[in-house]
Amino acid sequence: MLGIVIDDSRAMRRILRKFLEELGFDVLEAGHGREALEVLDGADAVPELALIDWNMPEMNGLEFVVEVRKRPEWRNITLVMVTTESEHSQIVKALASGAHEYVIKPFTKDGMLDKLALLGLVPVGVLS
Amino acid sequence: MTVDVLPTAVDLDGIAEQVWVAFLDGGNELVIHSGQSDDSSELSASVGIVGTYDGHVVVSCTEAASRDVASALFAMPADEVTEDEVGDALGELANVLGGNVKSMLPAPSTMSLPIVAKTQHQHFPGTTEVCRTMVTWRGNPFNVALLVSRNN
Amino acid sequence: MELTFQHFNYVAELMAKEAAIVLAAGKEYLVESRLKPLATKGGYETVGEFITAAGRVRDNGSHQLRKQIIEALTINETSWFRDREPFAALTNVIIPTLLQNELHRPIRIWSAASSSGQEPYSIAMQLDKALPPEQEYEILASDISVEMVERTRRATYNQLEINRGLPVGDLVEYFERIGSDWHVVDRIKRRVTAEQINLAHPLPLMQPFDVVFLRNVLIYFAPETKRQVLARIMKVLRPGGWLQLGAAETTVGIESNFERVPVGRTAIYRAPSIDLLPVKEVKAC
Repeated sequence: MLGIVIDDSRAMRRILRKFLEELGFDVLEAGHGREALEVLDGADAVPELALIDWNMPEMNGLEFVVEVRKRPEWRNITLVMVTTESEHSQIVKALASGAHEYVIKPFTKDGMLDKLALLGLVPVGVLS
Repeated sequence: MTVDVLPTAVDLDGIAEQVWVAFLDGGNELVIHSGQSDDSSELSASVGIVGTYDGHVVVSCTEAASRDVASALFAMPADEVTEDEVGDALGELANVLGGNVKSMLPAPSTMSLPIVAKTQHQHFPGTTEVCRTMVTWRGNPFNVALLVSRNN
Repeated sequence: MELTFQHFNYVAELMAKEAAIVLAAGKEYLVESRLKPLATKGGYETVGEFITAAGRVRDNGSHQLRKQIIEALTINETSWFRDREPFAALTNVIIPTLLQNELHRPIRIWSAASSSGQEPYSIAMQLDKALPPEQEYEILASDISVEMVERTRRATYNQLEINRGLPVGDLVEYFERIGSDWHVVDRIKRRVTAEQINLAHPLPLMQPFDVVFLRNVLIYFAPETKRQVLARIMKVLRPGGWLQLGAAETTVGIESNFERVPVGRTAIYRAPSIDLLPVKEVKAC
């Protein structure tokens, strides 16, 4: 399994990378949406999963989701927003733009694991 | 639903507790001193909120405390973290605290990327304080404050 | 004061014995942080003192303190749609069976150890999606802890609790933001009634249920109590009603009247239907 972590905070990227690696993922990283598009274009394989922050410089997470949705070759990437944006209206906006799931920061490892199990990306019952 | 009631110190307590439990627990107890403040801060990180609500969420702490935060988030010894990593970690702390505070403020508002400053008293001209709290973690005090623009 | 090795060991043994929960070394902080509010509330200087008091077996009040410890260390085990399969079984097997004949009455479900309410509200969300709009339903949520019953009635959850397995579509559909918390919307909330019930005691008078969720509860009880609990549940189930147990639990060897029905990777249990009930011999007249 391949995942990409897109967040402008290196600290947050490290936390998410470690979490995915422990689940057996290979992990790509990007600091904002535009960089993520470049990383995806240059990657050998299409990731199964993208964890996407919302507020980032250059290109924010929502704009990135919209861009990914325009590219048929990326249609199988499961797009999960991982963000501190948590108003009801913002969540609806992200879903309408094409995000599949939504994790609100702060999250615990268990919470993130629950979401990935929900998406069928890890087996149910994996203990963190 | 319209929210006209601004957050209080108790709301900040709840948000801070969740943020610390999720990201900075690691076996270190968090003690909440609702409504209090500590003036030993050497660094501050803030996010600006613009829109229906205008203001800032500011978290401030000592140099040593900020290294502890970076050390926990980057999972490396405190004496090995770089200044860059300290800024990144404290900035993300402000971002997560700020985002959760923002969800309680009148919408629509947008939040800026975090700014980290090395200063005892980061100035936010034209603002007044709405509420504040202080938490201690690994013996270090952290101030969290919500400010509002006076012309809001 | 730091938690001593003895204090931690005492709590670990208590949890292992009473709740089958393993607290590995290194979880001292968890014990400390979960018990701190209880210690403070009870007027103890430190968590250590609180644990010492709970360990005074001859003291009448200590039983209550031990119960508080068990509760405090088990509550966060709850997530939304926990384990998935029971909820899939509800929509794929139980509901279609119930709706085979027109019901003309509400479907009644009991979430019998509802903790802070995630299970009953998950059931309500599932039914909201699965049932035809004219089909009414009601859910009883019960827990041994008054505090948990109150939490269920409040139907308010913080960010960390919301992140635990709740699909975002359900968050958007069934919750509204209040302050920094999320509140179950009224049309779901009003389906759930919460009551304090101790399953180890005789049950209060109740209308019969179509389904009882009794998940990860039997593990708390001694074999004889398990048998009594299942017998009481059998009595409040409608003929042909359904019982959902935890993934590692079974009625086999405890209460033989339940039929085990395999569903997916798990199994659900069914009370005998009327036509399967033993019929007394009827003399011709």
